[in-house]
Amino acid sequence: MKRVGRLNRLQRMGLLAFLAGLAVLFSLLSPHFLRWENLSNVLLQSAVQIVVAVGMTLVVATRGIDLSVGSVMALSGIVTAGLMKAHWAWDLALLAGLASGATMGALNGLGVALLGINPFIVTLGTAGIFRAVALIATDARPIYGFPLGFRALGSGRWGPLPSSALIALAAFVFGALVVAWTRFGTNARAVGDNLEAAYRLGVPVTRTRIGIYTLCSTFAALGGIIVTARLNTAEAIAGMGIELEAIAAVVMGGTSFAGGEASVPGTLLGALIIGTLANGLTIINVPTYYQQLVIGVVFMVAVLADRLRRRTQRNALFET
Amino acid sequence: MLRNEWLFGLILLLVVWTLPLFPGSASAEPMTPWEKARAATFAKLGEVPRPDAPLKIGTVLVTLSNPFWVSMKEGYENAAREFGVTIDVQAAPQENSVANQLNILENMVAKDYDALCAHTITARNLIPAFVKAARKGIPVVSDNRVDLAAAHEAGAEPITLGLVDFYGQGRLGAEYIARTLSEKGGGKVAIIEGLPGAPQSEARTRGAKDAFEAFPDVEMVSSQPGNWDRAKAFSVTQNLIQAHPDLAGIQCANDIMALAAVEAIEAAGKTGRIMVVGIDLIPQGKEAIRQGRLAGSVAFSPFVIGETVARAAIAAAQGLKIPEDLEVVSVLATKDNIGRLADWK
Repeated sequence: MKRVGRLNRLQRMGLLAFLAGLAVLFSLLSPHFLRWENLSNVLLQSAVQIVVAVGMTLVVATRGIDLSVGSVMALSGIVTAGLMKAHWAWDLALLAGLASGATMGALNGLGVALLGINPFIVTLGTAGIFRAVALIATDARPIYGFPLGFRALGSGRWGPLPSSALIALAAFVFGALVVAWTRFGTNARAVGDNLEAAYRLGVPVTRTRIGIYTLCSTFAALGGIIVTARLNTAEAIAGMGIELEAIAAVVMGGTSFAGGEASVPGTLLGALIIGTLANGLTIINVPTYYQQLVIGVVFMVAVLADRLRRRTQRNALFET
Repeated sequence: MLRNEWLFGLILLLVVWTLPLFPGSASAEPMTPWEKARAATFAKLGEVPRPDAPLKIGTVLVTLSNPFWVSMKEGYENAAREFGVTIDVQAAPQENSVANQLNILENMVAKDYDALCAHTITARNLIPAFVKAARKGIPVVSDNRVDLAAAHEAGAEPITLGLVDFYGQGRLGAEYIARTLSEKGGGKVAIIEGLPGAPQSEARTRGAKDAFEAFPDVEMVSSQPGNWDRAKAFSVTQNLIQAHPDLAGIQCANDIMALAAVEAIEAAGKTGRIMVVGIDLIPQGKEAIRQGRLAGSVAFSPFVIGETVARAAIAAAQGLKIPEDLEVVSVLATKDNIGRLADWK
């Protein structure tokens, strides 16, 4: 088992090396890449993806998926914005926004754990429902103009770092701790590894699964709040397509759809690689559609590398 | 002697070759409506000097998944060639990728361009990048869809051009209907609007209403939203024909809806009895005007918009003042001039 842990670390080192390679490549191609101004842009622009992807990591570890994160982002942003417009203090509105996200996640979890519906189906359905509620509630019109304190969450700076990057860092640390140090995290991995076995071993399966989806949507709500603060606007189209970016970061980071393991640090690296690619390709002036092509190819390469690592890992398991 | 003939021949050849480079010198062809509209638009901006130092300008468009924006990109590229400057053009992946578009412009601000051009998706999504550009003293040329109050409050000073006079477009199209009907003794007219609440739709509708009201023998019987949508405009037209069998003209807020209105009129067996005018002059619209099915369409050129914003940015990078109300010239396309509109882009 020691060798397995070493191989996981190897995977993370591989991602880190790849990220460093990208940075070297882009700084050779453009003098503008390796400047703090631009690097802080990368952090600022990856923050939302990191937050959402950390939540997604937990869901994927239970052999699930959450396609509703984008819609949850939009609706929680709108809840937060609407309450601020109704003269709530912004911090209270923020908490209410997170709570609305948690509620949506609990609904996903109920569908998956209690009704036993495939998570792909449940969250595809709720994605449509939450988005529709967001459109209906706002009549598709943006809500804008928020207090300075709230906007600082998205576009402010704490020291040299963009505040949203610090929020993302906190979300990452929290997610990593939950997975590595809590009984809840262990249970989640057990559920993903083998649902039947976990149940027989006395793992509170239903509660764990509902909890996981609730947590994922709360992270998504946090992402929605950061976007709302950054754009100083909440709108029903926010977060469109983010589920794919988040899943890409999770898979790149080495968390397997086969469940049973979760690499939150890997997800962080995956999100940073995607963010660095998007930023660097703009800096060296690659047209948008080619950017999507490059990101897609890099994603496939990462997945293949992961497949290779798994094969080695399986062999290692049999040897010991 | 022979040598001199050679020389003479060579010079003659050179003159003939370079003749087209001097506009007006030998061209018997009058300017096309597009060339005229382009020249009139540039005249409003005034002389833009060719920069001495090599300028670098960054541009972010809404998306390139739509011919309108591709044509605009070509306008930028043309201006870059004409002025010997570098213009990098980027675009968001989709028409609603608000955060992506902001990321792109922020990354461009970090690249130290001499000026930036920004075609914002919503009134506010690019403001954080405008603020960063303002802090670095990079001039940003955008358009009047930007919420200037919000931009100023955040500390940004973008130059916002008028670019498209939506009100004037609605007015131009409706006036053509009203004038034509008025010559024949007047008649009943209607308006098919775009999406309720969309600024382009509201302005085009207001322009059309004002034009119709200016003619006493023209009676406006209805103004209904068609949501920019083909199917919706088709059923709205059907209902209009039902309610007003003597309807004589419809001004539509875009060509898609105008073409749907034409379809509905033909399906109702009223071919040629109701004048329909659209806006945008899309290729199918051009074709329908040529066939005499569509009475007209108000054309404005995305290519010239790209050129104009690029010129404004080149001027701004050299510290020149830009007339903020600057708008591109719109032209009414009808069966009379459609033959000369082949080069409209």
